Amino acid sequence: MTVVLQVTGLGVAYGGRPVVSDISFTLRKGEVLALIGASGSGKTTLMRALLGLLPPTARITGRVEIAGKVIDPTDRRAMRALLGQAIGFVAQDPFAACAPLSPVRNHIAEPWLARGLTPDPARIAALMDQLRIDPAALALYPHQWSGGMLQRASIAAALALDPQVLLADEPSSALDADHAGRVIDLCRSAGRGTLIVSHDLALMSARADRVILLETGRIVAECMACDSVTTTAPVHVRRFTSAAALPLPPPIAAGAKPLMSARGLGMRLGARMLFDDLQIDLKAGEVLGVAGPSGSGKSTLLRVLSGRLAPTAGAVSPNLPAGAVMPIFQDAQGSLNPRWPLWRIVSEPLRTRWRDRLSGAAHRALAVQALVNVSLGHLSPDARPGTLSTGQCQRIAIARALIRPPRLLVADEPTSALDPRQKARVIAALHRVAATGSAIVLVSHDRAVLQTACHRVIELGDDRKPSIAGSF
Amino acid sequence: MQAGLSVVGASLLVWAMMPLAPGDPVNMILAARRIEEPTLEQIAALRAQLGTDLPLWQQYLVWLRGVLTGDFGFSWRTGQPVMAEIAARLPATLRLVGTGLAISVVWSLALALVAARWVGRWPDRLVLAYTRMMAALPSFVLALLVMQFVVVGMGLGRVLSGGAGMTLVIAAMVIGIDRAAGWTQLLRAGLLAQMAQGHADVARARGASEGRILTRQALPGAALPFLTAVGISIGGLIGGSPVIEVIFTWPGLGEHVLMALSVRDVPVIQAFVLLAVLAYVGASLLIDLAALWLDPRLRGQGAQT
Amino acid sequence: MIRLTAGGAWPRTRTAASDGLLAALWQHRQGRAGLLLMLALVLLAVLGPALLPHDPNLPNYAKTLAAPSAEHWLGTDATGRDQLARLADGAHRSLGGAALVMALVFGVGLIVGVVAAVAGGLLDIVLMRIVDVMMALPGLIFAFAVLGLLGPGYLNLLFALAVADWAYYARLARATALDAAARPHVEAARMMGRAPWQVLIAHILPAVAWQLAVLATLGMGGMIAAISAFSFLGLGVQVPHAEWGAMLADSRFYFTIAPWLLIAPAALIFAAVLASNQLGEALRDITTPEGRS
Repeated sequence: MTVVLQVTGLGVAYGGRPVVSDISFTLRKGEVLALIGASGSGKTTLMRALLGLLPPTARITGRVEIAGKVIDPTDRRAMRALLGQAIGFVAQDPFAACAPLSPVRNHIAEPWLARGLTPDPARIAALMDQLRIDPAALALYPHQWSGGMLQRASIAAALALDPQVLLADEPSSALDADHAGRVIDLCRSAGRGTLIVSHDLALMSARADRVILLETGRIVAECMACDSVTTTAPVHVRRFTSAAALPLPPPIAAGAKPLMSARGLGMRLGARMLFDDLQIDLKAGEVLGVAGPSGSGKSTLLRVLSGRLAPTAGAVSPNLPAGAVMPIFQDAQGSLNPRWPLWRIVSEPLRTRWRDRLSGAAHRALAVQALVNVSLGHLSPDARPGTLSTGQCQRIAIARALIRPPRLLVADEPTSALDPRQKARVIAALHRVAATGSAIVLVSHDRAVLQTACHRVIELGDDRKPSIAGSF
Repeated sequence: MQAGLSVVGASLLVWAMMPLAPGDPVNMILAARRIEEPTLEQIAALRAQLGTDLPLWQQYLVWLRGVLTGDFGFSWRTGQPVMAEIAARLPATLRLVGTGLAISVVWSLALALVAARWVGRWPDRLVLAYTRMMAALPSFVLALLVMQFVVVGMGLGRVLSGGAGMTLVIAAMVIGIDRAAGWTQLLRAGLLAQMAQGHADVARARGASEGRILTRQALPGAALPFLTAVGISIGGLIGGSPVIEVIFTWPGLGEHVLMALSVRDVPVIQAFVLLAVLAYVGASLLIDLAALWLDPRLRGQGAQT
Repeated sequence: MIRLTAGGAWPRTRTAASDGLLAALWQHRQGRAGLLLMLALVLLAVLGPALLPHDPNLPNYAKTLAAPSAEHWLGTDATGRDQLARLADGAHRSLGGAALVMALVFGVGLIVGVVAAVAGGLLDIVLMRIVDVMMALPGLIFAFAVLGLLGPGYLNLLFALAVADWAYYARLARATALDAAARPHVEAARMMGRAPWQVLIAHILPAVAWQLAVLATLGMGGMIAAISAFSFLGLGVQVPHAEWGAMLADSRFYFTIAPWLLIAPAALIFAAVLASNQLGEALRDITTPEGRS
């Protein structure tokens, strides 16, 4: 098969500091090649280098050929002639990718307009047909579209001028699981050479042809996609998989005391019954998962269990005193005061009562210990949260719970914005809290997290009758 | 609704100047007209004219009815109807402020586009340095320097202007250049924020030129905050015009309002303040309409609620 | 997320305000310029009257409109008063007056805004309606109205400017307080058992105070300009007292024979507004928590 993209010895450096180096691979026509890596592995930099969109301070070395012709990623003018024409691009978040003030039609017409051409109605109609988009919807604005459909429109725009190479940057990560696979299949069905950047090895092993694994800016492994999740996969790939493997929860102590029990718990929101007749018993050290589609009342249940919201039916007993419940939020950055140094954030639970106040030095020492316990001992206790990644912020929030273990910890989608490796670390940190004897209620839409990392899972769903699944 | 409440509140506040003003208005009127020894008839006639013997709420209603029909009473200083005096001078002020506004919008648009197109390079640095200098030069200082160096020094325009010609251009340019500094910074920041958005980046990856991204992707998104800033400053422009007008001896409201202020001629000040409020509220409504026209997301919300 | 590529878009590391305000300002280029310039002006205001040999208000009709010389560094005005002494004497009226007004609106805005946000209900509605009405009176218009009511004068002017300005601060304080109260870190603080007053003092007030401080510093330049402008029009500082704007008014008719009389006060007003603006922009930069876009 014809080679549409050939990369040889590509490197990118900022001020002498290499970000990616010695990247070589080929992409053939009709092939889907997945470029896998954790956050910070350099995969986005690599993709932007191929698009010629790195800032002028980047120093690019090596050789890139598209359909046999050498291109120069530093030559903005020459690259502009290729972009759209020879390289199509699909971005991560379709809503961010479309200008909100103009109808979707303009977004699809952009590849023509960008090079001063007149949009070809026949080509647009053909693309709409191929991608199964209702042409009438093109007059609507992005906010009136669903995410999955809008991502199809983005693919249509990327394919408008029939490029040989399709570059896609996490094209499915903003979509739910059903749409994610379909988007990859659509990229494949276009019959181009497709390079997909992703952190989701599980998805790519099922949908891509080949997988390249990137670590600290270098290719460390390459294999067929179907082999990547088997025991015969290269060692780096297996290590990548195991770093993303979720830990099992610590066993519940034999004599663990019951912490709280909810009987006949119901919540009515106007005419709508969110959940009804729930029976929940929690033991110290237990991790309880809560599953259910969005809008099924998962977050409301957390508020009821933590005593912030009175249920419309049933009761929770005993009522936990103030300070006995600690929350972990989906918005990890937002859950840390941006003005405070880490030690002050982590030690805040120690300052709830004026009389029991310890010295600043004692707070600091305890905070440092808590940071070590969530494997963030390398961070300066004087750093501010703004300098940290989302996953690190989430572990800081957990360290704050560890410093004075609560009776109950309620976590609302704590891993939803994280890559698999960070996800595993956050879960491990949560388990450390459970090991101190705190009960944890964990809301998530992530099946893997619920099934692996929890002792039990309750399902809130349309039938309004919870079912208990996955007992250890 | 919101605007209506604000106007009613503002009218109450403006009216309250009259009873709140320290001292008996009759004495203030006599002082403003420099009548040292008034006769009893003069005092009685003034009292009847002012209607100060009515209860306060009636005074407000009487005043409000007058205002709604364009009757602000009579100037304490001259005894002439306030509205007639203002109507005679308002067109000149509007001409000056309007021209200044137009110059300002065009100038800031041009500067911001240039700065955003070559961000971080010398045109951008030049524009930034220029706007910082201009933002630090209050309009009346700029007007004074222009008056002395350009009008007196170079002989352009006339020191005692008749309200037209070269003086209009120079005075309006002072207003325009003064306002443009802040607006340029605002629009430049808005453009840069838009240029960093995902959709601008995707357009880049579709092969669009930076110029096209700037005008097609960034400008529509940055236009609304810019227009809002322009709109809400219209009232302030009218409020700030007296200083400029006095310096350029422009035959607008300025001199008149200053005279009124120095002798506490309350009805004239009331009329001037209400005029600026009206300009502010009117401009706000226009901006709201412009926002609906520009942003389809707002239209969607309006249809649902 | 998609990374931006426009030049200069790569984040700079910078010192946060909480690492020590002065240090952070000093490391910010604009902040350092603003600090130095403001320091020079404050020194002029504080030390000038004590060190300069001439009385700012004492006329000397033998020496009117004298050019700058060894004795009178910046010359003398139309009644023979020393220009430099008058500039130094006027500095505390321009700068100190502006600082006083800013402190006043900062305090009133903080209290009204936070009380409205914390109390909620009817009190909130009433306070915010008042703020709405005040904000419908654009810019200096309300100051004109208050001055019209009280008559010209320096203290009246400061009062008028404060009355015209506080509503913006109250509005921002309320919005910031409500925003801060809804942040997850505040909810976490409540749930971990911190008392409402602890949450208010530890989390909400600092956020509000920083926001208002940035707005006040950014507004300081406008306030200096306003005091000078009103004094220029004869509505603020009254004769014989010196103030930069009033000095501009006195000297404009002598421009052709004594241009330095006009240029010196103009330059000082420019420098004071520039210093405030630079400080304000620097403060805005360093108080914006990093990493949040």
